[in-house]
Amino acid sequence: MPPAPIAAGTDRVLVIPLDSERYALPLAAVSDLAEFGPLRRVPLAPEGVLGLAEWRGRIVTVLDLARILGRTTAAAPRCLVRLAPPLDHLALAVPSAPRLVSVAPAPAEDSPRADLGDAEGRLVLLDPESLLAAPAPGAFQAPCRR
Amino acid sequence: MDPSRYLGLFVAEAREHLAAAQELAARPDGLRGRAEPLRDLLRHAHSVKGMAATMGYRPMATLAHAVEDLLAAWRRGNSVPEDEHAALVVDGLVCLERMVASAERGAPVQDAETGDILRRLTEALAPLSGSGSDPASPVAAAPPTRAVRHFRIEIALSPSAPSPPVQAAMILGRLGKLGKVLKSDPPAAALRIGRVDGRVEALLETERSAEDVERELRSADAVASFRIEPVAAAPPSPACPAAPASWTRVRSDLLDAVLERVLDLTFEQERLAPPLRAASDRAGAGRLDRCRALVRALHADVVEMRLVAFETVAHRLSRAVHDLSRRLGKPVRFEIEGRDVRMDRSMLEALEDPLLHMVRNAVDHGIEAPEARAAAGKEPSGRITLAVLRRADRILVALEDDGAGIDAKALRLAALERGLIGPAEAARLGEADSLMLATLPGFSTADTLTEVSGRGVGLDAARAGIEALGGRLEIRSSPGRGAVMRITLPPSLALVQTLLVRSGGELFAVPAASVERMLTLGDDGTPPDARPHGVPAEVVRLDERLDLGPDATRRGRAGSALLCPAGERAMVLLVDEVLGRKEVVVKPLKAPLGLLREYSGATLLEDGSVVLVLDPAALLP
Repeated sequence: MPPAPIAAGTDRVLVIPLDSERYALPLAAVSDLAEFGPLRRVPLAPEGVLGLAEWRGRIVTVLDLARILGRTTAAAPRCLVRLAPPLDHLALAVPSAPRLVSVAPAPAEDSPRADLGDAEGRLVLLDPESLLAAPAPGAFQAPCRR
Repeated sequence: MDPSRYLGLFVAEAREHLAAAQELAARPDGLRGRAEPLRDLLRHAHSVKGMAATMGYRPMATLAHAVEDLLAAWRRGNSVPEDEHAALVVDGLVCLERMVASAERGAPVQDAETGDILRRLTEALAPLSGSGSDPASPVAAAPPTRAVRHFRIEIALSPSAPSPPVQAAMILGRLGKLGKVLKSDPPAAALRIGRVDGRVEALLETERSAEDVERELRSADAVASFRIEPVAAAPPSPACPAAPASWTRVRSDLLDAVLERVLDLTFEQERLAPPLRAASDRAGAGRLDRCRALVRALHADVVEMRLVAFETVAHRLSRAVHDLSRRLGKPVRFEIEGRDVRMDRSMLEALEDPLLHMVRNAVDHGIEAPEARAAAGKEPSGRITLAVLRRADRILVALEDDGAGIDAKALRLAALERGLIGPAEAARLGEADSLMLATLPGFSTADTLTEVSGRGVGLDAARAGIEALGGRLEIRSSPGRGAVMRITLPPSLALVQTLLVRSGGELFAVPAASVERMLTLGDDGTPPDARPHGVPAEVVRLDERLDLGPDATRRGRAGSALLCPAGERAMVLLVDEVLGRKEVVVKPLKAPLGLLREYSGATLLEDGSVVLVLDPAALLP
């Protein structure tokens, strides 16, 4: 997933560790956080969809971030990150509560990847719309029907 | 006055007038000298002219005035316009629409084609002696020529007349034939839900005399007495030229927000029920019942507020047919029935693109070229009819053409060649299912269209759009005689009556409108032989169909069966148990779940649990 360059004013990000990689979601792309709770499984749903959850009277579709990124992680989801409108019908399940950090905007344009960094090292910036438009193969592909 | 404050209102109203005018102008008989369409067209052009002048958009006012002049000349002279002149009026209206768009963007209200259209309008007007006025003085232009009268009419219904609301609606309909009912008390919306107290008042705008109105009322059996009083016409207001004072414009996004709040309220109030039950609070439970009744009434009012007539999209469909038939050299008579059928605004907006796809397909690939029609013994002009009907539990839209029809066998072969279906499936598919192959993504290519009598462009998108609304598309064809595409839609995007069922240990909701009846299972758990259309219903176990619960070898016997008709087919849906009836707020599933056809949406129960709402027809194998 090629990370998008970070825009001015979005220099605060939520850091989501997944195995050995650390991902960053711009704070502006997130509307809310919650603990991972019971989900309504959706039979025949694609692998990247964990189920449906009630979120303050609304129904949100919970996605498996690791699966969408094509990563395999043994860690069970513990936190839900609800995306900001127009994607606020979606929440990302992540293995731990994200941490808010300030990062420097993307470096020079000739940088092949607009990766970011904080005191702990490199971050891969996620753009939710791009992520959902081009997930890892099979993540949003429905299983074979009868 | 600072006109810019009224820009939003101007844009909305000008678009309404221009849409209605284009729709009238694009009708086959719209400009053929008939009094009513010409009168209405004149009124719309006149309104746009006045509004544009008030806003200071002089080029727009000038063009509207020129269009109005030509229409007035035809009307005065009872002359029948040539086709090219009728098309010129449409061109003028389209140009005005572009100017409105410029105004909305804050750009100069000019259009590159204005000069040319004005010149052609002036040339068309010249031979009609004495018919023109100076196009350069739009604000001073005369209003439509024949005298328009206004009458306030009070009607007492006969106490013995059955169904007073229906009688009142019919009387208003009679008055509507004489002119335009600007206002009524009770309003038409109240009549639809049965509110009338034996008395009806109406404000009628008409060119007919009081005697004509009196004659019409005397011929209605349900009228016990009436009074007709001439009144002065209300002076036109620049801010609201055509609407009676009792109407208020509301921003559509606010209406959406109000409905959303009401649905939230519906959900939240149900959360109060369990604690009240647990506390045996009978007084509280009584207040909750009252609250439910009020919320239900509020919901009905909001749903009513969001309804708009199908008419509002009719002009775009008519224009699409008109433009394409001209471009392809295929004369087509396009008729729309049920223009006054009202639908949820969001649903109608979402339905517009699928319908545009479908009518264009009908012209492009359904209707044959004139030579082919002649060879087939058909009239040179093709016929396309779009009929809209509202039933209590659904809205039906049927698009019918008298073209070449669709060859189901050719579709099957083409799908087989493309690897979209296998030989076994091709052998099993019946006529109706074969025709639906035309809606498969990837099937709609130019090659396919040529080979299989040509349906498909955009049909996959049209079907997806219809299904996203919780609707269904069916296709019927008579090769050589034409095709029908039927759309069935839910009545609204809000509350739906469902049956709650359990299967494989999970809860689902089945729309009650999809269930004909519950069936009694035999002692061994087998369903009876149901044949609703003379064809045996197919038995589907929900747990097997959705891979629920334990594997097949350990599944128990089904406990209940629902008979669900689906077009020409039917299904016996086997579930563990039916828990009861429940009215729920259905929320459509969005991407990436939107493509799961097995569900029409999801809903929340009062305990916060999420329940999937099934689409029974999509469960059929």
